[in-house]
Amino acid sequence: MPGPLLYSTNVWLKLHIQQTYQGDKHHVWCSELFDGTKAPGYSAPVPPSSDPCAIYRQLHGTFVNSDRHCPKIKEQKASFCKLATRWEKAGEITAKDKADILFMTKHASAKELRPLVYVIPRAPVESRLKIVPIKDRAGLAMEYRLEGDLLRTEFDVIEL
Amino acid sequence: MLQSLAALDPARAEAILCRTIDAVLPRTEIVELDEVEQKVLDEARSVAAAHPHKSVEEVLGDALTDFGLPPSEEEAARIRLGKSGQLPWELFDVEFSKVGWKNLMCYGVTSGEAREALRKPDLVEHLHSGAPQTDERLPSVALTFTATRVSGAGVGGRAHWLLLLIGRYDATLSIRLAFRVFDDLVRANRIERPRDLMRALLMRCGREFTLTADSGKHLLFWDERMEHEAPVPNIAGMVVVILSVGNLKTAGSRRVVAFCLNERSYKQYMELHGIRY
Repeated sequence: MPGPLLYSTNVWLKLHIQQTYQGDKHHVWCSELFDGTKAPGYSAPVPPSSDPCAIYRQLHGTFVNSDRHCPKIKEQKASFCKLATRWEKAGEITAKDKADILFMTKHASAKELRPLVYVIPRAPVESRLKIVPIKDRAGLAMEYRLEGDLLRTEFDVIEL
Repeated sequence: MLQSLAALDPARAEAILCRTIDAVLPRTEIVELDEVEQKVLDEARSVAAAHPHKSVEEVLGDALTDFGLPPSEEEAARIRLGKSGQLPWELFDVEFSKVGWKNLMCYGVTSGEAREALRKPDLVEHLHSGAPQTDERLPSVALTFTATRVSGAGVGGRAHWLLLLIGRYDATLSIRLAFRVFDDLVRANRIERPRDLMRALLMRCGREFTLTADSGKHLLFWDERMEHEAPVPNIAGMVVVILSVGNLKTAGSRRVVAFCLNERSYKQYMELHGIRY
C-alpha cells in the first residue's frame, strides 16, 4: 500500500530556477520510498539511480568534497541549459532570462548544487501524478512525474 | 563549438543540442535521433573522450551555453543577477569604498583580510535592499553586514569576529567599514546576526549621540525617510557613522544605520587583544 508521502531529490539551483523563472511551479520525478534499501522484503527493488536517498548521498558527497567532476552534477547542468533554451523558444522566458539561467548554471558552485529533499504529501497531488512507463524507469519500483505543476506550497524542502 | 553545428543557424543548432541532451540524460524518455543529431552526438562523444574529466552531457551543455550566453552577454548577465540579488557571493567584484575604507575606517584590518573574510562570511545580514533607482547613472546601493570568524593568526593570535559593513550595487561589493570583535564582548550562543556583534562592540566603545529628535542611542538601525540632510554631530574624539540609501534629490532616501564610535576606546580595546595599528 503506498505511503502518504512522495520523495524527490533535487539540487538547490533547480529549486531556485523554477521558483524564479517558472512561477514557482516545479517539475519533479518522485518515488514512494525515500530509501529503497529500507524497503520491506519482496518490494520491487529501487536502483540507486532512482533512489532519492542514494541520489542525495551522492550529491551531498559532491557538495562536501566540492567535486567538480561528479557525473550527476554534469547531467543536472546540461538539463538546466536545455530547459532554459526550450523555455525561451516557447516564449515562457525572455532571452535575458535564458542568459541569466545559463550564467548561473555555468558558474554554479558546490553550494548552489547542493542536494535538497522534496517531501510531497501524496493526497493533494494524486490526480496529477504521472506514472513513469517501465521502459523509462531505472528499475521495477514505481516512479512518478509531476510535470511542472507542483506548487511550492505543496511540498516541503529539507537538507539532511 | 562543435564542428557539426558550424554550418547550422543558431536556432536549429540549439534545437539539435536539446534533443541530443534528452538522448543522453538518464531520466528522460527514449529519444530517436535523426542523422544530423546523431552526428552531433558522435562528435560530442569524441570531444568528451579526448578530455579526461569531460562528459558528453558537459560538452553538449557547454555548446548550448556558447549559443545562449556568448562572452559579450556574460557581463550583462552577471550585473543583472547582482542587481536582482541572485548572484553568488563569490562572483561579485570587491572594492574598497572611498568614503569609508579609504578614510582609515578599516582600523588596522588589511584589504587582504577583508577580502578573505568577505569570501566566506559566517553571518550575513541585509540591512536595506536600496532605494529605487531613478537615475541610470546612479546605481541603487544596498547595505549589508557580514561577520566572519577569523583565526587571528598574524594579528594577536586570538580568534575573533571580523565585522564588515558593505554597500552592494550591480555586481560589486564595496567594503566600507571593518571592525574586530573578540569573544570577551559576546557570548557565542547569542550571536544570531552581525548587528549583535556591532551592538556588543558599541556597548564598550560607542557613545550615545543625538541625530534627530527621537534618536539617541549607541547604535541605531532603523529605516527612516530622510527629508533633509541632518548635520552630522561633531563630537571630539568620536567618529559618527551615518549610512543612508538613495539620494536626497529623489524620493526614497532613507537613513539606515548610525552609530558613534570612540576611536580611542576602540584602539585601547584592540591593544588589549594584542593588535596595534
